[in-house]
Amino acid sequence: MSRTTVVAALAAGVLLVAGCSSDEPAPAPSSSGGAATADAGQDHDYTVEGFASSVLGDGTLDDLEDVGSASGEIEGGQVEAQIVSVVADAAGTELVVVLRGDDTGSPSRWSESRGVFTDVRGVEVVDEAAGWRLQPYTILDVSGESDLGCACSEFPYRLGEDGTVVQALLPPLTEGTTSVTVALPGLEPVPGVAVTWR
Amino acid sequence: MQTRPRRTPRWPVALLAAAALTLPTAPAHAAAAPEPGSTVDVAGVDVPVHGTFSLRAAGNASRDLVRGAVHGVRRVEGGTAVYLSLGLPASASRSLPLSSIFTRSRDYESSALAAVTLVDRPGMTAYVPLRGGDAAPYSSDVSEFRALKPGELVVLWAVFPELPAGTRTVDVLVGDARAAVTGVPVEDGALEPVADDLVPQAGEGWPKIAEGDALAGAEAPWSVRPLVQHRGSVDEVTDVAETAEEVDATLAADVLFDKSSATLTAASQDAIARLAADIAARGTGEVRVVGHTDSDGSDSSNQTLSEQRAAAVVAALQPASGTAVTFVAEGRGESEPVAPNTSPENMQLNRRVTVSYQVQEATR
Repeated sequence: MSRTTVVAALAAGVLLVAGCSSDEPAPAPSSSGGAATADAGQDHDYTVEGFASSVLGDGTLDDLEDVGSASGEIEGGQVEAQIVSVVADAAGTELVVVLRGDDTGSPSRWSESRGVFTDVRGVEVVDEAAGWRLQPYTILDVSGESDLGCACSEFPYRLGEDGTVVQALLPPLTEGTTSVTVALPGLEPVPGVAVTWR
Repeated sequence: MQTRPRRTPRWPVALLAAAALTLPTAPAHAAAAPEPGSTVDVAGVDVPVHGTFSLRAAGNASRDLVRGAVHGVRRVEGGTAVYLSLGLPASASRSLPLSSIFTRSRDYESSALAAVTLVDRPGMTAYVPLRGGDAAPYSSDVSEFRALKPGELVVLWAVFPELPAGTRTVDVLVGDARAAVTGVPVEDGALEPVADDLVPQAGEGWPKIAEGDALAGAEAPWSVRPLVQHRGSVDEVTDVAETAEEVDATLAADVLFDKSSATLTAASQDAIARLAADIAARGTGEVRVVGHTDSDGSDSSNQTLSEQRAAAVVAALQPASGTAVTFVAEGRGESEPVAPNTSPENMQLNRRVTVSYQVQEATR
């Protein structure tokens, strides 16, 4: 979507918001956020402060999509996974998940499920057409001998109700795949997750 | 050659401003972040936004949410510059040390921004920041900037090795948490204008980066890392780990063979056929087939069984694998477990046959 379209949509959002009293986040400009209005008279899209506000948001993850979910007890604690997106292109597949759980003040669960690694490399996206379970890329050291880490997020050290985004970069899906099963260690697989192609 | 970021018309902004001014009851929420791929004018500075990310410092969900954006992956003389910004929401109660997001690495100068990675998935290569700067790191000098303040979006940078000419997009992993922004286009030239501040806020100009002669001391080859692609078959018979040069396939012996047998089962045929087809399509040189067992039984019987199983797999693969490869069969018995033989699940993992082969570059 071009910025022109975005800003036009933003304007439409303002018009809609005016007619309601919802507290839900809306793409409306504000005196404090100042995004598109505060400096418009000087022909800039944003002030420095307004741009920062637009990127930094309100400190929550409430604006993220939900295309699937799973929950269950893992190692004695409740864990909820909100699948935000499965985005595919010729280069590969990106999985985005928000993990939530009770903040017990102790390190997060999955210490057994995740094995010896501290990252989320145990996630899988199942490409039924190709017959493969896609897993995150890993990175070797310069010698090509030792595992240096994963092209995926570190597992959250502590979970909480506010959630933490974890991501994983995986191999390409079969072209045209419209939905996949997402498997998260310790939780039931989530079938029918819509794929967004770009 | 330097390419200016794409600009877009400003008339919708005026429309938005007019709409907002006539709507005094609109709630005080911040505007949405710019869409990925857009360029916006921030106080007179063109600011490309290729994607946004979020992370929690130290992986701790009780900490304030850090958000940021990737503004550019730019080819510069002698390297590739990455520009990103990040900060805390204005509502955050306190500042956040940068070191809780970018842990220092012993491999780098103490003031270097080390925890940023570029991933080129089609090229099967990852890149970490250049190191070797004698006078200053090849990145934002984090010793000059210690903490994020609420409401400020500060711009950081790091220089990586030169990317291959054919690399058009990369993924950027940010911080110890490895928050990802994917599909960032690789463009030409450092971002301008250059700010006076070493660590400016987004919209105040861009930090001056190291390029050209300033990168003379860089150990570029050290910063280039092989990427490994992983996948497992849906029938859970085959697991594949693949680099740009080599494929390592692991076949589950429990499906290939009956217990203590070296005769392939009917259930093994699909996996064998699929592997042979891949070898025929792109394999080159020597195909190494190695049998492994768990720790049940004597060393000698396990050694023999592993050799027989490797030979059986070679006999099945070879006829359908073309003429560009040769085969070698080995048995390692129980000597190379991938997991401790302390549970049935682990012992099952150890009962396996591995098949390794080089791939022709043109087939990637």
